[in-house]
Amino acid sequence: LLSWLQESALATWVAESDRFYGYSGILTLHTLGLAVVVGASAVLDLRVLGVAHRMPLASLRHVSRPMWIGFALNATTGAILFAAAAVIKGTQWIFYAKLGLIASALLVDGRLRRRLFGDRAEADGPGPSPAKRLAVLSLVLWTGAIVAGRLMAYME
Amino acid sequence: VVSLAHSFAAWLAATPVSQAFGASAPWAWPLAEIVHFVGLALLVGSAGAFDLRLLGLFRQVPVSAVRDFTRVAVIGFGMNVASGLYFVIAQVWQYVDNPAWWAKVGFLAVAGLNIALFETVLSGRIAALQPGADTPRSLKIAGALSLVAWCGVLCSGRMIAFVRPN
Repeated sequence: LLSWLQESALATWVAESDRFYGYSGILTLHTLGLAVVVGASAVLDLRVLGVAHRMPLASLRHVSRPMWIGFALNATTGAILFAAAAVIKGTQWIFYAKLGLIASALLVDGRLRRRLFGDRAEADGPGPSPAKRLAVLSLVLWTGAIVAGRLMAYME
Repeated sequence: VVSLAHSFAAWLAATPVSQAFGASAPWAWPLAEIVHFVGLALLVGSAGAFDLRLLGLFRQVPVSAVRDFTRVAVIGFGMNVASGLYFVIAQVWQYVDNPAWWAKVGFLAVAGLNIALFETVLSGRIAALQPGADTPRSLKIAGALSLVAWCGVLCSGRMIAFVRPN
């Protein structure tokens, strides 16, 4: 299946094109999307942890919009980049670790937003609140996803 | 300029620091890349939030409150200056003839000039803004220019690996 994917017309073209809109351009878009997804998520996480506390938390209610735009971009470009080197990437454990970290980060972000903005949103008391723990977890998981993604270039 | 850059590169490559960086452990370069990528996400996310506010989005939030987030951008930028200097010092010949790297330097200069102009001339106009009011055109231009410049820095930076001249 992996080699069939890699030999498809699109994958072959992407892998072999040296145009700027070939592999390098798609990888560049993937990096831009990473900045939007992780950056937007980090803004909410850091605000929950007390950075820029003058900013009303409610104003970050729609932070999920840029996140989903960036995520859609990266799911698309990521799928194309995967197809272009499916045989190598599909057998790398670090690739599956990256997918797992992204899925966990999205779940944690969803829980955090429901806790902050959902119908049953709870006001946090003093001390390390559940929202703060979710925010730390989100930062750790997204950082882990970046680490795993970067290491894909170095692992066999 | 090219010959000046070349003599600087030759001098830099001969320094003990450059040779030590060039001979560093195999994990040093990937680690610096990871720092560079985490830093860029912090920079683009927090600077981008402020830029969007300058463009007139989420007007009910005071600009000064969103501006507090630019501290995070400064931290991200610091991470990228540190890791970026490591790259250049360790492998200066990978960059000095690379058009993508020069494009990145150009975009960085635009972003820097924009920040300097904002801090000296424009930031005073923030205090006069009423809550919910649209931002004046000058602030919109600064916000848009910042977004374009940082996207340019990121994209040309990513392309460095693909436009190696030989």
